[in-house]
Amino acid sequence: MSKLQTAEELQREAADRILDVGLSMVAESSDVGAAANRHPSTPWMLVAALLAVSITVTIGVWPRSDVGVAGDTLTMRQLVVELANAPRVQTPEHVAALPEGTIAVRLATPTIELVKSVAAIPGLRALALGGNKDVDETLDAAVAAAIAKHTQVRLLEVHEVKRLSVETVAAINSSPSLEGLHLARAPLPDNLAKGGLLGLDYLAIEDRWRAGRPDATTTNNKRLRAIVAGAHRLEALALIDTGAIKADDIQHISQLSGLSTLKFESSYLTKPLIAALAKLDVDELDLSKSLVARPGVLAPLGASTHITSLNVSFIPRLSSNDFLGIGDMQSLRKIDMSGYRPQTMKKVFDQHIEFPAYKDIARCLRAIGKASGLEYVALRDVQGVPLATLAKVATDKWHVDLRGATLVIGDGGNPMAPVPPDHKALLEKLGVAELLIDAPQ
Amino acid sequence: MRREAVHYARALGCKPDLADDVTQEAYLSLWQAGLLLDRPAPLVRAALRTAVRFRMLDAHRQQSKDRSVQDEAWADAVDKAWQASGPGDDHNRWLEALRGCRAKLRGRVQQVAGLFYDEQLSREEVAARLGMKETGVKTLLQRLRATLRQCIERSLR
Repeated sequence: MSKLQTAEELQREAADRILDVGLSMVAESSDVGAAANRHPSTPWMLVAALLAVSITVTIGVWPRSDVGVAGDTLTMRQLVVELANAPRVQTPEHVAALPEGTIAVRLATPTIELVKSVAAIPGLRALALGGNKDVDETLDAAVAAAIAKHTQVRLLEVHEVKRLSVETVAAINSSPSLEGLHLARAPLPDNLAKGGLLGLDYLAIEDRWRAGRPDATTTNNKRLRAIVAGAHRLEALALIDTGAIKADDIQHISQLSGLSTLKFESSYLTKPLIAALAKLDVDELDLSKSLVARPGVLAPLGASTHITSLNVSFIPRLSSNDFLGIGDMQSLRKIDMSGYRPQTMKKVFDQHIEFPAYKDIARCLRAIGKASGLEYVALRDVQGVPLATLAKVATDKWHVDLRGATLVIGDGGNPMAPVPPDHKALLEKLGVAELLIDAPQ
Repeated sequence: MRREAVHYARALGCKPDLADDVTQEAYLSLWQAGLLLDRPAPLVRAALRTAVRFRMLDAHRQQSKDRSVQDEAWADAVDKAWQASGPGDDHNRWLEALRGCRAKLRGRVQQVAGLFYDEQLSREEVAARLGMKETGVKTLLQRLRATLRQCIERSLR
């Protein structure tokens, strides 16, 4: 537009512009229709999405073909969930009162008698041991005996013990049924790393101690190398609060050729760390509940060509800039951005101005909308999801989870409103394959 | 009505993302002012377009203070063209007429329209694709617009 244009010329140009935009809008709406015909939603996608939603812990999926005891038919991911929600027993009487078919038990403060009584549960497949502040050799021996007796335990969690005895390590090393091991605030002894991790599909190392407690297993370069050497069959690895791991250390993980799932919950995610993670050949990357050094550090994820499932839920201090990179991940099929809290202060011309939350979320949605293969988007507990933008960005392939979220409704509704309980109307408005909302009160 | 507001915002010069934001903000401002309730549709439409216009000008002013006079002249032109030869107060009908007229295009004009509007290629790219000169594409687009404008007028009559 030139400054020398007359008002008439300007108006003619404006008329052309109105027509051009109209033609683009006609073309865009035709594209949506064509896309809908190209990708009809299928029942199996719906089932897959529902299954994905029902599983809240995102660590590894391994189907088992042998069907027998209830616990044998569960995937490791399901077993992890079972163990996390398992009953805590403190006395042999508690154990006696457990219902028939119990497959997972947590011993908060195990004693020898307790471990012996747990050993008598026939279908036990997942066991969590630990929690004593002063764990001694006697308990370790009992733990070893329990593991030896429960040769069918598939998942073992050892938490809050200062050290593992030789007997315990030997029992873990020799267990033919053990597929998963979770060391939570427990050491990873060298003799375990050398022999006990060989047959494992799933390993979780959790370093976090309660305030004031020493760090028992600072997972560093040396530990990672031990894991890589000992657990080369791993399909899923979880490194939780392993603050000592640096970008240079991540390359060791790339030697785990069968690894498909990585959970990396860090207390200090930096750009170099994310760039290193993006280079890994994993299908599923779970960064949920991590802490970022500053907003925007997730941007290097855009370089990933393998990741199909990304969990960035409940990470404080994320911003829409983080999602600009995520939108470039063309392999992405599933994203969980639940609990996203937008940065409502923006810096413009060196001044901080109030920036409406919904605009930031709209920016995120438009960014992830660029990932053309996206099929599952979780927005649980996100406050201020702009309905109009969501409706525009979402395709009929999307499965959207809006449980606990609130909406900004542009078409004359409330500026911020709970998700309306009319599932059918909302589903039609959004035009998505599946929608999950809270059941009406 | 939302589609109409987005169309208007884009005609004013907003990129699609900004058009969405501006429309959303315009809706909010109208809602907060109580202008969306129990008002005749033409009044709400006009208020919405005005709100979109001011939001867009604000957004542009934040980026470059020098352009504000030019922007306002352009916004005036869009406003007049919207009423004179554009959708006026019946955006849906106008857009449907445009859709129908677009479907009637044939031959070279249809090819150019497909590449320029559907595939969002530049004039230069369209010219290269069809083995034409850029000025030829420009002329064809001008003819295309004139044809469509006449067709829409006939359809709406």
